[in-house]
Amino acid sequence: MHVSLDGFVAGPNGEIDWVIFDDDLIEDVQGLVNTADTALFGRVTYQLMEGYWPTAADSPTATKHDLDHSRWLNPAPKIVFSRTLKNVQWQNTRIVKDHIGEEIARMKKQPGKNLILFASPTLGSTFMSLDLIDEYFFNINPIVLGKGKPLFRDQNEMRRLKLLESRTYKNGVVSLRYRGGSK
Amino acid sequence: MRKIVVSEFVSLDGVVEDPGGAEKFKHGGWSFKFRDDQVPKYKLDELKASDSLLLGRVTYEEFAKAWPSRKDDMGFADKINNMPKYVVSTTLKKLDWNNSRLIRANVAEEVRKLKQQPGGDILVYGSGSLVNTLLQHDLVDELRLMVHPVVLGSGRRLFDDNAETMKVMKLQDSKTFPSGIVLLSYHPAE
Repeated sequence: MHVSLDGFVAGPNGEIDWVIFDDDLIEDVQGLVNTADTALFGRVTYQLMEGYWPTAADSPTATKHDLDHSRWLNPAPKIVFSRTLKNVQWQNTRIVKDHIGEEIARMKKQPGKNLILFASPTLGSTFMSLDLIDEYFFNINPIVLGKGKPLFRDQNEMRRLKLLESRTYKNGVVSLRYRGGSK
Repeated sequence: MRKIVVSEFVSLDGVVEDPGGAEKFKHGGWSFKFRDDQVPKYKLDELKASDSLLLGRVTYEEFAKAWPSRKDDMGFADKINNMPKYVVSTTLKKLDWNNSRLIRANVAEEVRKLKQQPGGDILVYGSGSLVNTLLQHDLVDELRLMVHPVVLGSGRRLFDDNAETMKVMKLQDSKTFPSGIVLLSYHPAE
C-alpha cells in the first residue's frame, strides 16, 4: 500500500498522483507480487484496475512494469469483494459478496502461493478486524496530504504489529513490512 | 536562524492523539507499549539539542500537569521544566509551568520573530493544530515522526483540521529502534 507520511492512502477525491513508484520500488514490489498467485481487491480498486490492466501491455507506451505486471495479473485468479458489483469483464475474476472470513480461510488452506490484497483500504480495514492479514507492506511517501482517505479506520481495538523490515529508497520512500499482530 | 523541529509520536495509521495517556482517548498511553532503551536516550538527546519548546494549548496543559513534579536520573525532567516554553493559546489566561510565556495572536508572525532571535532549535511536541498552522506558513524546518508499530484505527490525526496542508517533503533520515518504532525525519522540499 502506498501511504502518505500522515497516514492517508488517497486524497479526498481519490487522488493517487502523489505516489512515487520508480524503478527501484517497482523491482521490490514486483518481487513481492511474485510471492503470490492470487489477487484480491475491494470494489473501488478493482474498478480502477479493470479499466487499465487488461489492455495495458498493448499500448505503444507500455513500460517494462506494465508488461511484467500484466503478465502476472491478467491470467491470475482475481477476487473482488463487493456487495454491489453485478458483473466483471476481466478474465479469471470472481465476485465474493459475503462471508469474507470463511472465503479467505478456505483459500488459505488450498495449496499455492500467497494471496495479495492490492490497495483497497476499506476492504483492508475489514480484513484487519477479521484477523485475516498475515503481513503488511507499506510504502511511506514523503508527503503530507492533510486530508483524504485514511489507512484503516473504524477498528474497535488497537492492534500491535511486528516490524520485520524497513528499507529507505533514494526517492524518499520508506518501505515498512510488518507481521500482522494481536489486538 | 533558529530551526523549528516538530517531533511527533504517531501510529502507523497517522493517529497522534494522547500517546502519553493524560487525555481521555480510549487508547491513551499507547506509546508506552513500545519502549526500548534506545528511545529514551534518543528523546533525551533531542531535548538537549534544543533550547526552547513551542506548544499548543492541549499539549501544554497535559505537560504542565505532568512534568513539574517529575524527576529522573537522566535529567530530562530538569531540562524540560527549566527551559523556556512558548505556548500558543487564545483562551489561557496564565501559565503556571516554570518559564512559560503566552503567544495569543499572530502566531506565524510571532514564531517568525522567535526564529530570528539568537539561540538554539525550538522543539514542538504534539500540538496538532499548531503544527498545522506552522506547516501552512512554511515554518517547519524539520518534521520527525516516531512511527509506532500499531494501528489504532480511531483517534485524532496529525493534520485533522481539514485544512489545505498538502506539502511535499524531503526524507532526511530514517532509523529503526529495537521496539519496532521507526523514526522518519523530513525537511521541507526545496
